[in-house]
Amino acid sequence: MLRSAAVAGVSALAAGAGCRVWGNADVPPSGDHKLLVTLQLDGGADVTQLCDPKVNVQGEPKINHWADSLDPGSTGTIQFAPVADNEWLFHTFGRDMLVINGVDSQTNSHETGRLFNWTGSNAEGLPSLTALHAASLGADLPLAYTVFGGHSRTHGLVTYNRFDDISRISSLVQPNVDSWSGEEKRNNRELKAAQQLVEERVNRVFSSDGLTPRQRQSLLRYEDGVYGREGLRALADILPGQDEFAPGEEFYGGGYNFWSNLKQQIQGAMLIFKSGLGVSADLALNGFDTHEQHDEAHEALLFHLADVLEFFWDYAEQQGLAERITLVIGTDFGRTNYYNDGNGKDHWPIGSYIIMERNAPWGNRVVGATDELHFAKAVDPKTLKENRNGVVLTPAHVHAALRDHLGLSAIAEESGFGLNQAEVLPLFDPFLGS
Amino acid sequence: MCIVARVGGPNNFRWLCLLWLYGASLVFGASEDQAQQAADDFYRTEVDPGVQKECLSCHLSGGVAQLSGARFSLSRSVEQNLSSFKQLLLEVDPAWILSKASGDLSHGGGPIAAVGSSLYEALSHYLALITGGDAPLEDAEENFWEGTALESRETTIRRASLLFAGKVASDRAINAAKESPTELRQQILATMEGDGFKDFLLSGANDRLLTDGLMNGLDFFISTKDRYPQLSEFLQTLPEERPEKYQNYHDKPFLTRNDAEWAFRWAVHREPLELIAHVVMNDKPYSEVLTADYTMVNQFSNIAYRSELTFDAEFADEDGFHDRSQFSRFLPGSNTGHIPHDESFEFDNDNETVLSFSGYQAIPHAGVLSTQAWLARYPTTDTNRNRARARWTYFYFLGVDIEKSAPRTTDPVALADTDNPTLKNAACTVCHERLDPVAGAYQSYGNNGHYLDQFGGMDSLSDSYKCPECYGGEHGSTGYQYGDTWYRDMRDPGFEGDEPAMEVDSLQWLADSIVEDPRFAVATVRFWWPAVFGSEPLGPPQDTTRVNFDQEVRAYNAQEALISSLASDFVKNDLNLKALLTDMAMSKWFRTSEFKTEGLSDEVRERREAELLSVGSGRLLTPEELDRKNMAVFGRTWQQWRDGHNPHSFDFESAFRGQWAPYRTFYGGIDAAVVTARNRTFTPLMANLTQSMAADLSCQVVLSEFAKATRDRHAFEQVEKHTYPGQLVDEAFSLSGTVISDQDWRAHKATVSATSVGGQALIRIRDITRDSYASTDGKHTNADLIVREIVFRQGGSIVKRINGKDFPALTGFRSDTWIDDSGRSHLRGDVRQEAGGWWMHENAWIEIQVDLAEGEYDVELALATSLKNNNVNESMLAKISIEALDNWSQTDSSIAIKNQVRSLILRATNRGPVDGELGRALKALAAEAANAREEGDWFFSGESGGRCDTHSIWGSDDLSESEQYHRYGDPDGMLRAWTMFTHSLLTSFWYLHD
Repeated sequence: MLRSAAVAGVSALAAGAGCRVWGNADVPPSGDHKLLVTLQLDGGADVTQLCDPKVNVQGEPKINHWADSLDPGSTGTIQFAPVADNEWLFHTFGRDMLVINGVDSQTNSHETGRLFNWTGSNAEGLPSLTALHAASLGADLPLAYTVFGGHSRTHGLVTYNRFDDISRISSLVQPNVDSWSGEEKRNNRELKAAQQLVEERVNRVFSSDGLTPRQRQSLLRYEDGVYGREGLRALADILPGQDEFAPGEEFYGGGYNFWSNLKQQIQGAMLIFKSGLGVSADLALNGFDTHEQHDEAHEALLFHLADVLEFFWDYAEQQGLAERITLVIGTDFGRTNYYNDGNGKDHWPIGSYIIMERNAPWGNRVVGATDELHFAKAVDPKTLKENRNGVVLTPAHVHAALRDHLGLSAIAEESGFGLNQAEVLPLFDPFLGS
Repeated sequence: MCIVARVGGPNNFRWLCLLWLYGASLVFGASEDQAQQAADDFYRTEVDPGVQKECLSCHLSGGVAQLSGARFSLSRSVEQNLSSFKQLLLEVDPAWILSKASGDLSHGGGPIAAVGSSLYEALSHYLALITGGDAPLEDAEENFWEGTALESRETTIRRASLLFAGKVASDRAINAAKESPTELRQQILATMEGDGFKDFLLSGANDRLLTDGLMNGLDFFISTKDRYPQLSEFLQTLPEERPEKYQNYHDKPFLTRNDAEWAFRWAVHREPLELIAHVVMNDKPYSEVLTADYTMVNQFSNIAYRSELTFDAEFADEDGFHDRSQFSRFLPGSNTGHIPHDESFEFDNDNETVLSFSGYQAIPHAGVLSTQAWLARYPTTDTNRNRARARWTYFYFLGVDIEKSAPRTTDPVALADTDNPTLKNAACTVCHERLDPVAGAYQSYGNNGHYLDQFGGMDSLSDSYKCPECYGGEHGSTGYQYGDTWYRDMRDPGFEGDEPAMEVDSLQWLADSIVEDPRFAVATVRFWWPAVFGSEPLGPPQDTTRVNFDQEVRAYNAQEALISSLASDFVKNDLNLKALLTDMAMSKWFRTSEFKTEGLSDEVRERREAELLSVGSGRLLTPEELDRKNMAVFGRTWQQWRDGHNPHSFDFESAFRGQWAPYRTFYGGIDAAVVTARNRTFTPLMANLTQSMAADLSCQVVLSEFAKATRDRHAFEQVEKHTYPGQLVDEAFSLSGTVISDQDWRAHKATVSATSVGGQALIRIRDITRDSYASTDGKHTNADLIVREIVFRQGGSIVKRINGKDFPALTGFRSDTWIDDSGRSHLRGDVRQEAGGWWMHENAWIEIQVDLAEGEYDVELALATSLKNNNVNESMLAKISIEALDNWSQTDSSIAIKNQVRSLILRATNRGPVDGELGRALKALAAEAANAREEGDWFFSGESGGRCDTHSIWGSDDLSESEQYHRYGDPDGMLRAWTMFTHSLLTSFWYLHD
């Protein structure tokens, strides 16, 4: 059963008394369940410089400077913009990619765009895809859902852990070990005695009459936290030395100074997956909101993106996880089909997603479509071919298909988090394309 | 105002107005035409502005509402809207309209006018007028609080004191608060002073404005040396580098040029928060946070701004070192030190000094809005043109979230429109007609927040606008004319249809306009809501298909009713924020601590629990609040260095607070740069953090507390470290005199009084002489204690006599032991006939058990010492303790310990112990003390004994052994026992939650 029905619903709030044996949490062994990662290109990435390339149209404002001298590249059925390391990226990983173009986020607001693209709804009320996945496969795991950056919503479905400085992970998972000497700070007898008193207090609180819903929910969360923390030792056992974590990287473009710890984020996520303590993670790369000097800034970011994706799959391979991971790459929305006075591009509601899995049978494909000026085209809901009377893809459609693909639809419905107005399109059907 | 009741079943209810007070004179006694006219006039002036703001974006003809099937259509015409309402009333009744407006009946836009909001009340009043006086208002709070109960006034003042002042409430305050609600209110108000309250204000304001992000990695591209000549001149007086001779000195930072420049940046980043704190702490009207014609200045910005204020502290000592913690004092001052870049401006890049300039600019201060930190935190670009600043101005100070006001109206066709769509395209103007004039009001400030930052110092317009051809645009395509200060292709500076007069500063005018707007008071309540209630204010529920949509609407409406009421009182109290915060802490939303579910069906209970989920006590403390609580309850906090004063930091530094705060974001906190929203849900990782905190802090608390005189302690005021459960006697004696030979001894007598609680008692005699093996001549020495006899007297009569020679034969006799190389255990002492008793080795101990009836006793000890005359000591120290083994919880010491436990629980959790809790704590303490005693008489004794980072408390103190023993000696094991207990408190649910 879903551990936290509570949240939305509340029955577990009333269910009450804690009767667990603390400190004896069984950590589920690593299985073959799916691991989900979102990579959020924060700020609104220009997908016409990535996976939905657009050349300039005579009589229209210039959409891309690169198109003055270059044509889009292609690999299989995927087309890409010939900038940064895109050619290498798509040739290397194209067969593992499903590109979804022409996704209309229906907004030019960052807040709403992030909300829509990562929950499937442009209204508050739904959890992130990663939160849903964590609730489905590992709600009781101590690090079921880890946020390294980007937008997240849980709506009480599952708790999340936020990591900003991976280098502290070792001290965080071994709280009684002095980080300088490696010795234990307090002896086990004292810790047990203290823990016994704490547990007795919690049981008394649980059994007291008249707890408010807020108190009871906090108490459940507290118990979950205490119960789950012992499991963190599994992570301590596999942590590499500090010098094996990738350093943060600085790079420059268009007058912007960028800094990224995305490789560290990846390492953190993979190590948590490997420990068996978590099943989903959000990663983020900031800087795509390029209202000025768009091309230079985007090129620097896209170079970094290609480098990071190589690192992602290499590291996943090293940890023996590559075959189990679904990676969803997306962004707030797209950028205008013209340059502004500052050589920048402003907000544009049409964006894309790239879904990746190792050896995906549905890879090397593009679904969804845009016209020459990057307006979304409607597609037939069955064949996915362009159809004037079809549907324009929105993030809701993408999420409905992803939920179906990841086996999350049923649990979402049961929890009251259904995507009521988005039908499940066959985006993952390997024989269909737009 | 109408007091209403809802009658009828769930599907056919109607509203019954029981009492109608508001505006009745407009209706009664007037003719039908007059009444109609009054209703129409009321609509035009009081209702339509709100309708246009809140409803138009969806109900515009052809808009989202109409596309979704809504029959109600609006326009920008007041008269058409009036007509639309009248038309709608032919089809539905007023209650239907109000229910839709407040989010009921599956309103697609969710609640846009919560019950109790000004728009809701105006709309309901209008509907009452137009329909002849029946006012279909709903009482938002009807039944919402049913089954709930408030906490005691003592608990409220304890919580409020920790929250606002970072202090444990005093007994005086608690006793006063218990008297009456009025007294409680007074006492809450009284907490709002001092550094603790200032911390609350700074933290709460930063949670909203996020200006600390400028110190945590966000770009902070303000110019310093070339915009502030006085600063660059001052920097020239400082060395570029730390002198070679001080390279290895790190106790204080050296004041170099870079260091001073960084200190100036720090001062600049802090201005908006300091301004808010200044306004509130000095009981000024809160409107001054926007209208202040000054800013806040510290010693460094005082120079840069030419504020000419007087500060006490020197910048650096004679050697050039400085103490950053001295520079967190801010005073109100003006910025008259900024200069334009124009033809007169000349800058020496090599020496980083201004060689010439035309003159200083006086910044027209507009409170927070004109601070460089606010402007830099929400920077703009040549194309954004202050719209981000306008968006956040609306959000923080008017409570309007423009981004969410039009979540799905952005049409790609409209976005592709390159013919100035924000001015002309209806899909864009719906937001921009409100946003852009406010953006224009910021016209004097450039992208990074500098005043009139363009060359010439006349405006802040982008070059690409003034000279499009210079940037690849068409010559002559700009509307710019010399002397312009704002873009001609945008709306003029203004606010909600009004425009500033030419001669006034538009940002100052905007600030004045905002504080006059009734939404300012409501926005202020929302601004401070998370700081007081520990959660974001509920947003209007939007998804009508959600399982608990109705409950979310009810909770939202109840919250909005409270916000409206708080805002109204805030205005009545002359915008005094302390009064508002007090009202918030007095509200049910803060004080509810109980919810009874007896008699409720499962369905009703679940509904009610969903409604009440964000109400009352029980939230997780933020890292900053937990840190402040550590300080308040125990006197120090996690990773505090010495007394918390750190010359390297402007602020208090710890694991959770300050510039570095290494564990703040892991515990759900924000850095205001990357992490801008708090995680308020406890996780396994956070559980580990609390364990780590408790392991480090508990021993520091206990050791530092017991090293102080009782009157100076924070928490352990009722016991000494020698007070242990069951203790009847605990006394030490100095036994003077030396002997020549190891075999000699000197006799001593000592007497103690004891009150037995009846039953078996344990007598322990211990040699606690320090440096026993140290001699004055480097040769072998000796310091042994001999117990010859113990005599118990009652009323002068001997009731029991125990000879030391008989110890080994007594039941329960135990002695200190030592282990030889083969692992065999040996006693550290033996019977010596010539001395007439039990002769102990250095620092050894013995225990015997006796049966003592209840009553008063004089206990006479016949002791002897064999202290050789070459020993460094001139006397020995012996300690006798008598501990009740039966009825031990009735001893004075046990009662004192229970009182101490009660006090600690109350301080730490704001709640008293429950039945049986004291007894269990006492047993746990006794057990841990006994275990610790077994391991030795030092806090650090034992193979896995207590470890503690005492360096952070006392540094590298050079102590004698006796001084060390005074601090770390733990012969009764109680330091370790209290450490265990403190650890349990620090990790307990109610310590970590409010």
